[in-house]
Amino acid sequence: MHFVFCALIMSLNKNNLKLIKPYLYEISKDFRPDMRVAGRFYEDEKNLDKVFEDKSLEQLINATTIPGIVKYAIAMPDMHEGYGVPIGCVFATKAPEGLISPGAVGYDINCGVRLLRSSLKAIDIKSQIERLTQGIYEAVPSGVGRGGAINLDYEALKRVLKNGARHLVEKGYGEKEDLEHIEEKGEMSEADPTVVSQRALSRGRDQLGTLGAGNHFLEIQRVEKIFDREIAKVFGLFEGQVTFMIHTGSRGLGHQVAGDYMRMMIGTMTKFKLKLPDRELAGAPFGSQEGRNYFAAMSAAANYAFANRQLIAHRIREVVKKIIAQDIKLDIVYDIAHNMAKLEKGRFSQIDKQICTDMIVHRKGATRAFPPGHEAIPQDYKKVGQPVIIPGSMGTASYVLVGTTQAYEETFGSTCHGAGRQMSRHRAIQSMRGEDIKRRLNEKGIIIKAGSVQGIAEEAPGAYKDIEQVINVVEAAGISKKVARLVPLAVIKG
Amino acid sequence: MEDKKFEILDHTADVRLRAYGKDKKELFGNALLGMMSVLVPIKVGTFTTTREIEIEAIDENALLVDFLSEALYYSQMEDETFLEVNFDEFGETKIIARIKCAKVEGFEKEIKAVSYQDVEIKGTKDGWEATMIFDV
Repeated sequence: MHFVFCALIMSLNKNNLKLIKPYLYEISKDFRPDMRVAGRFYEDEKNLDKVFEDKSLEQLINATTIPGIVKYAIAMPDMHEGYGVPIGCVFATKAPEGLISPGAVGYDINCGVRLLRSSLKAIDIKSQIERLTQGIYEAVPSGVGRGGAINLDYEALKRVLKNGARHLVEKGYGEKEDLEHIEEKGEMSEADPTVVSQRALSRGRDQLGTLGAGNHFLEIQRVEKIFDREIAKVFGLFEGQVTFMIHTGSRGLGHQVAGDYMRMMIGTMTKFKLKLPDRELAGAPFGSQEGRNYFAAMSAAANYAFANRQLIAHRIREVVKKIIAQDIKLDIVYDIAHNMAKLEKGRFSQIDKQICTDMIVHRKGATRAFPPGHEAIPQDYKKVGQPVIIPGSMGTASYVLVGTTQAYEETFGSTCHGAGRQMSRHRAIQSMRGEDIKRRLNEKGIIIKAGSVQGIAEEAPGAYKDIEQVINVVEAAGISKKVARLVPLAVIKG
Repeated sequence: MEDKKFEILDHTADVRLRAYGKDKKELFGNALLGMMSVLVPIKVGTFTTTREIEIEAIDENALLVDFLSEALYYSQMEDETFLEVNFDEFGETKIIARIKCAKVEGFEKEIKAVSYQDVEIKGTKDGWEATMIFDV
């Protein structure tokens, strides 16, 4: 078996870019002979030099070679070098013959974000933030490795994999209304625990309800600014409001599922006569046994992540009730995934306006952003569109956006996912001290509880792109619209 | 001065490791020790058991990734780190390793996966070097 590595020397530069419209650039499929479609990315002209600093664009071009790909591959303005495809990548392949690629989903399947809203005003609980933060830090295990809030036997774990957040609600961890405000209602219907390996199961038994490490975090936030009053009202947001954000994924179980299937699909590339420029793009036709099994296992891991965020939300609710008041309710604004493959319908005007085809939309470091009226979004949000929750880097602002019709037409209904890294962890540790960052955040009135001081340096805001710029680009490009800006009052990480 | 076994290199989002060895057995062994250093074991005990790891893969690069992935799995599940690696068999597509393990209290860092991206094994004037990326 051979992987075809492109014989041409990559010399991509600004001259190879075509400006489709402001903020949207295209690399023609003529740039490299193995490209099946064009590559497109969103960026501000003044930041254009930065996109050439790592392998993001080369990886975007590699994504365009995937068999079955339709329209074009897309990178968002928070893009950075990843595995196979860049982080911040969206593309779709036509089912059933098009590929499904585990590498284009990511190792942390359904890494995502949940936003909870409260009736509380930040100004009213100022004196209690420290206790609240400590309470949440103690209630939600964070950091590396095992040791979770719940130890599951295999039967219970399989029910979590099959039913996701719904299983947790049925066990008393949350309300039925929660499910309506989670992507896929917190339950991917294609999930099948029988195609999840024993190894993955063993890793999932004692990690449910845990945050993990790296860039995962919990935040207590204040709604600092409302950009669209009408939509904010529909989402239940108001200025000065206290919100809670959870950023985590499927933990070791998800990583194992991703690794298991990536390994398997590298092995079956010969069987399907596939040639790709990068091993991490390995996949199988969606309609094949291998393809369907991966999708079913991925869905199971995704359900684990939905359940994980459900349990963590439950713990936060308990702490708030205990420390603030028993009658305080935290409702879910929305819960989104930013590493996922979904079976979605696509209409292609260049193929046939009448035919609606099934696509496998891969989003890796990108968020679904469906428009008003879409059947997949909660009933109470249908008039305005799907909320998009964008976490900022540590100590910086986060955003609530809304999906648009333009995104549905241009980006398979997708937008960015966060700020995107621009500095290696190695360099971040060398140039910034965790203690200094902690002090600087404290001086801004932000409490930080972290298991690792070095981890603070690795996750320092300077290591990430400016989220304001990323958000401005997606809004200016029309693929999402700002609704609210949230600022941290407290950050909890592993 | 002792020969360098491994070092951390720059990578935007994750950790890039370069390992060195006079021969490929030493190279793979040092890659494993390098991965453990990235995890930062807490309170390493003394040698407890020897673990056998058998890996078959499509080529040498995949062999290295799959070997490290297998070791990573055990380190997470058994709370163990690895002190020394010897090989009973070492071919282009198959290895059988015997690894001396020690218990740990935990790890400071997490590695989600060993990536197949940009894996490179090449000869140098002093022997061999291998570069790999860990998704953290």
